[in-house]
Amino acid sequence: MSMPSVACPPGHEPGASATAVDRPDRRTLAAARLTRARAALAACDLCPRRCGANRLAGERGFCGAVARPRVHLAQVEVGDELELIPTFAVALSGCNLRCVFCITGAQSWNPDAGTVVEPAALAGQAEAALAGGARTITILGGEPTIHVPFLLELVAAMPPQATLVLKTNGYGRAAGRRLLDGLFDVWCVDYKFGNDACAWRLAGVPDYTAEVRASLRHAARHAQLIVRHLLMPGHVDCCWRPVAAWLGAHLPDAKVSLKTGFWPGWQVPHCPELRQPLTPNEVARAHALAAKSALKLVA
Amino acid sequence: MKVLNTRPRAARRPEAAHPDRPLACPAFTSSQGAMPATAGDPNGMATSQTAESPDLIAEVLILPDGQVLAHNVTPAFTALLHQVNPRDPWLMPRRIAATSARSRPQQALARDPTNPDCPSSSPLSRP
Repeated sequence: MSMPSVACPPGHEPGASATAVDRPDRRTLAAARLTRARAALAACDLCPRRCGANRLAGERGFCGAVARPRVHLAQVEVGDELELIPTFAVALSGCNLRCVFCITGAQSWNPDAGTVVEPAALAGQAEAALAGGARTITILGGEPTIHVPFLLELVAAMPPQATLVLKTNGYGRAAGRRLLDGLFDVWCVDYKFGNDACAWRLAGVPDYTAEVRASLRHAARHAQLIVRHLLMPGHVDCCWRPVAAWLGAHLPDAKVSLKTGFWPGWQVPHCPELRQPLTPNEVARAHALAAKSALKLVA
Repeated sequence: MKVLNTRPRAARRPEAAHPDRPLACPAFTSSQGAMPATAGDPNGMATSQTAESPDLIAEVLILPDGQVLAHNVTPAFTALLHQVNPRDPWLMPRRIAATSARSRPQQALARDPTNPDCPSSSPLSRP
């Protein structure tokens, strides 16, 4: 199966994605950045919260992550976008957001969930998955970018021919993003909230809009970009409408994955409007807004 | 996560259920987490969680109007959901992606002697 053709940065055409990144260079890049990435953990500033925790010494900041992440999931999945599946998904524990609707919050919020697994072992599993028919390798969380040093080790260990996908909430800092430049073929970035008030209320995250837009722009320049938005009941106008409008105006070539299977779980009882699933009318209005902004929706 | 627009009927247990974790419909219990890819994996693609990660269980949420919500959809999970509604438009291409893959056994993780947390029989591997 080949990846569908869309506009994207030179060298990252989806049809050539398996060779888009210079593989030996990818390993070299990752290894060369490792010392700098580890140093960042001494006073952690990898995400905009800039808590300054000395993770190397076991201190824990907002996300609770220490120097070495745990893995709470590593399996082949087919639930992602069609151009990525089957994918070998590796989920790292710990997250810098607290979305009340998170459906994997029990693992994602807990940096101690799962198992410590060495990159070489995960790479071995990934290789077997690729040999068994998986097309890509997806690194996700929690939030994987709070574990940049481990990501670098993981990338260096992964099969050179593999198509690597980074799935991130986009709430990161430029310094961390630069450490990941050129290492992943595809960035799947969540654009969850259309305004800072909803971001603060539903995820406890400050300065969301500016930070996620910076991540989106960066990803669009350096890799294939898939923007994901989980449509939320009661948030079509306050969240999806501005998200769609901004994407249409600023990233018109980005692929957009509109998720319409909102799952009223985890801590949504704290938010009345999230206690129910989406209505058909909300889904229809969301698609109309996508069409109005001429978004390139992908399934 | 995705809505499967179907009014579900009873799912049959796939014949190739993993001996260590028979399906017994864990996917239809209420919990947070990821599907241990075990039952009905026709392609040998899944690298599964085991009982060493008991918090990892897939969820399927069936809404009163008959919609089924699912997440962490593995090939094995796809096989199960396919029996619920073979014509679901979201599921069909994913079923094809899962079944078009070649069969190949998965490798177990090697023990890391320097790391006591890394088990010799990995919870992240398929036996």
